[in-house]
Amino acid sequence: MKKYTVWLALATFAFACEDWKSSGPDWLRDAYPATCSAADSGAAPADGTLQVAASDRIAGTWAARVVQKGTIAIPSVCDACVLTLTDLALAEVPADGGGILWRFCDQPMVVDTTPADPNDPPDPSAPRSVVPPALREAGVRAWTPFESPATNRFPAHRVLWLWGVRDLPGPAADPLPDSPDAPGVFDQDHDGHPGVTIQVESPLQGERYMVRRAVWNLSEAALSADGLTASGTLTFQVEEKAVGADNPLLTIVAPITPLNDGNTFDLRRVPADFTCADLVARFQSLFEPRP
Amino acid sequence: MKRASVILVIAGLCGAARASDWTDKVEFSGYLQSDLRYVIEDYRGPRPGEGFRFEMNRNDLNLRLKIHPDPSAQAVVDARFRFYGFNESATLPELVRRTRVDPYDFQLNEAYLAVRGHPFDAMDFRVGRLIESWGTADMFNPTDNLNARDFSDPLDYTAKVPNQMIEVSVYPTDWLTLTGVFVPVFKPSLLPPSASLGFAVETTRDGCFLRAPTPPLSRADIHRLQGLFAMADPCRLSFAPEVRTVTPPLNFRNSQAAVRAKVQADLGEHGGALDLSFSYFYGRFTFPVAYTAVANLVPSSQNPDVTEVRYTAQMIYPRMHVAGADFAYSPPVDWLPGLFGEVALIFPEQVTFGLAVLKNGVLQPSLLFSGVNVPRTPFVKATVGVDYTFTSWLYMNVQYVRGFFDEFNDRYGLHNYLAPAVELKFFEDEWKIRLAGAWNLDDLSAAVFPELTVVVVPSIELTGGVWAYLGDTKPLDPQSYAGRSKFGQKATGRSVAYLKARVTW
Repeated sequence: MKKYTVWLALATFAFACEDWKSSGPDWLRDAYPATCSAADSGAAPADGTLQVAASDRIAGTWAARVVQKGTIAIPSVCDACVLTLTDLALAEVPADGGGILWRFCDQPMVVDTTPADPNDPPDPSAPRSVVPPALREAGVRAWTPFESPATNRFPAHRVLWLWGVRDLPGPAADPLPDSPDAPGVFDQDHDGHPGVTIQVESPLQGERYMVRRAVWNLSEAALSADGLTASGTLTFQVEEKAVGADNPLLTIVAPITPLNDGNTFDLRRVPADFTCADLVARFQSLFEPRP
Repeated sequence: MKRASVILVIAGLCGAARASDWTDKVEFSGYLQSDLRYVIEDYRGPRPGEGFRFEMNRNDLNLRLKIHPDPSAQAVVDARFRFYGFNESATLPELVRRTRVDPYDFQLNEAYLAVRGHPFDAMDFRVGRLIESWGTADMFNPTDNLNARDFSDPLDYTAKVPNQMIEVSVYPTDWLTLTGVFVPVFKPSLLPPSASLGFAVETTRDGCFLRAPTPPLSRADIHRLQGLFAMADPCRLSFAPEVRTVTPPLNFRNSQAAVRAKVQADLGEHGGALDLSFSYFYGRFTFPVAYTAVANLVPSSQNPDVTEVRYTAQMIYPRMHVAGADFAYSPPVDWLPGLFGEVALIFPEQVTFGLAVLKNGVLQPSLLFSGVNVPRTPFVKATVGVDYTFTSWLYMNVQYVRGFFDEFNDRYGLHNYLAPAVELKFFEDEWKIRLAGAWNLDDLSAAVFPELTVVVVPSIELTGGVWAYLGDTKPLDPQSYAGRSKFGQKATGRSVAYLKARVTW
């Protein structure tokens, strides 16, 4: 009797300690596989072309590449390394042209630590961090209403992104919190850590839990003749605060100082069911190369 | 057949009792209650203007039988027959069926055997259909998770859904009780009849689409989703909503278990008495939370100009660990109030909600929305309260509640409540006035229930009262899942006046 009781308790406890997770989106993808053809749905066909109708209006879905250049001081590496952040996002303009909804997809980062002597090997300690899948899938969004409904050109507008923090009384200017318990800090990527998690790969390795504010002041952008692209320039500010890390050294965040030149954005009209995964996989070929 | 068997068992047991000296070993109790209710408003129903009508015309017969075949053993059967009092026949053939003209049901509240001092002296066990009550707070018990709640009658909000269990209690000392309970099969809570209004699509009087329930998504997604439907002519949208619940499979993995250590301490003449418990529960939350939704847009077969939106939602019962603690303190002097409280630290299963828009049954990948509905983060539900007897005719009880019965840490969130109750007794306790309520401190909605009970003769009571909900029936914030007023929303139920007559024996 005692033996069975112990086994029963152990088995119950073992089941109770499983990693529980119920994902509605996964269930939906299994239950409703997207079986339509690419032409039917507008999805990207295998040959890489996009089946999207031209239009002289900005309403619709857009893939965006936003390139931001700045400098960053990295001890023992450089005092002002040039940093290039390339934000990849999807943008949606509703039919009434009343605003634009941005959805963050990914943010490749490159820090230029090219050695002075071209014969030297690349610096292995060049800073490198990546956006983990949890953050890419967290659906970080920013809605910007236009001052007046726009039809055939993107008006100049400001996009305010907040990552890992919400309910700031002055979201554009209030100081960012630097503690995981501070009001407004929340686990936006739902990974069990405060704020959002960035995976740092070099020169240290680990996870930094941070809050972040990015402000883009995008210039006006006219549609191309075929109505499929639009481009412009921007100024930006980025502020980041660490609210934790699995390595205490990673709580030190180097500020990014924006450069005045080289900050650009490109928009490419895409089908309505174009996904972040499509964009991340194809952005190199989707946009015209920039000098 | 099952009902008949139970009746035969009860009758057989009664017969056995008559046939021998078992009369000493049988206890028989129960009550008969008549309950008449009238809806006193016309704005909380499915459509405006529906109200001022009888809501209930019910008669209950409760029979409770306890048999002691041995001094250390007890068998308990508690059953209830309920006659609803409303004709449900709608066709001529149904007029030949008594169950349609005079519908009734049978409920077996409890049916178990209890054995004391076996197999060890300091061990008891109970097996069968049980209702467990853990915790020390008054009705709002976050550590009490073994039985699901029975909200089929909103006025009887302390009721629970019985379930089959095995309970073992051990008494290592006279001040410590260890209890373990195993519940093989999960049972969900019963919801009030108005619950479906929480998922109803509202239309205008001429049938045009007005408002759909807000899904548990981010504000940006909800804005986008609402924009999708805002572009369509509301009079050419036909919604067919359906909400399903996902029942956990009947396997051992979905069984539930709980343990509790209860300490009863007498703190001496000047210290008072303290009851203290620590508990752990593994199982599922008995109220469903939103899991998936599918909006399938298809041209109407009746009218090609109309788009049918076949909206199918699924809800699940998330798993959870609950670490609980509760206490009740009785002071040694009359002028100090009694204190009680309990806290449950809940470690939930993460539930990610997904909403897909389909066109003619084909998933549109760009219209697949998702968001975490229940994060993995642990959260706390708690109750703390005081009760005080001012005089022999005035009693008061006030509780602060964090997290209502049906609240989990989903996007609706946990709310804060104040639940006061005052009882006044007059004429040698023959008249009792009870003023009670629950006030949501976050959205300021409330439920109030003043009640007068008159003891006509001993064991016969007449009770009259009002059960009213105060708050906005429309979402306070249509772009937020949490925008619904707790007691104001229609899903909570109707405001009623009631009259009950009850005889107990």
